[in-house]
Amino acid sequence: MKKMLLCLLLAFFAFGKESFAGPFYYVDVFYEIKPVTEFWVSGNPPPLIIDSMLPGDPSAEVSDENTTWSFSSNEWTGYKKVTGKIDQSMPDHTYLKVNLESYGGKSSGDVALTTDPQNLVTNIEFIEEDCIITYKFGASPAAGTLSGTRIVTCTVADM
Amino acid sequence: MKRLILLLLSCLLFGGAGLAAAGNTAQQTVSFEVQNVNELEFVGTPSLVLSSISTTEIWMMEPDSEILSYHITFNNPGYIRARLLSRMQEYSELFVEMEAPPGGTSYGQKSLNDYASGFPYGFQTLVNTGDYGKARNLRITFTLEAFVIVSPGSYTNTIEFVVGGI
Repeated sequence: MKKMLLCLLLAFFAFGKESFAGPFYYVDVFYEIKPVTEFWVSGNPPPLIIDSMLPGDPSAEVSDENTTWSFSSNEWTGYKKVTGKIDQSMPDHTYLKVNLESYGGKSSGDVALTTDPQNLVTNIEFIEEDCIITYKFGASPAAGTLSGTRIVTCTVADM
Repeated sequence: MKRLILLLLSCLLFGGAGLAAAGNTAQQTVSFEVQNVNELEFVGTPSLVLSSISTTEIWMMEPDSEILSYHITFNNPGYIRARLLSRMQEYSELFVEMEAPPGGTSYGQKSLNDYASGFPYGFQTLVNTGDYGKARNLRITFTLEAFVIVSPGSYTNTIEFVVGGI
């Protein structure tokens, strides 16, 4: 009996803390969360310059890992993917590969870029943060000397 | 007989004078009371919109705040407390901060719910009002934060404020 009384007393004090005499006033708060999908890169990579080739090697390659990509979305419409393409074909005997690291998705590894979109990462969910972008530029001696730029367009889309 | 007449006249004279004296002095008991006055009035309705990813934290939406105003009149020391009446979406959090009236103290920005579960915390003390006062156009700031995993949509919740009561 004493225990029961004690429990009742404790309950009274526990809930009594929330009991105020008032007066009470009410404010309705309206809030909206808009659908957002953002995909961005940290900047442009530095020039990829081949300035030496080992004697006898069929090709030379340089790489860069100075840029990253990030993705964030509050829209769940299924897994998403990132595709990539370049604005014009690479010169003969050269290639430009890109590798998008992914923490939550599945990276396609090194992908030689063309003017047609290719999957770079699949199975992306909500967030990918500061994933490393690796560019590899390769050329064989037959390419000769050249210079150029390519615009790489990466696009997020539903799978 | 003369004595009797004199006596009657005296009674009339002094007796009448006694009644007149009673008519000049009247007494009443007046009761008065000032009850606790705790008046709040809010100006406007907060409307918060999250429409972009945070520039500093990729997991978060960019928070949104809205500053409105409130008026207060009170004649006794007390507090302004607030609580949410219903649950927020999981991984979202609603904050309120109220400017204190002169002589009072604001406790700064207070969260009204647990962000992970969305459940309201119950009454949070926002302001110590001080002893008494009257102030208009004090600031009240509503802030909404949400992680990106909160589904897009339009929502409503109600905050209950209570004034007074130590």
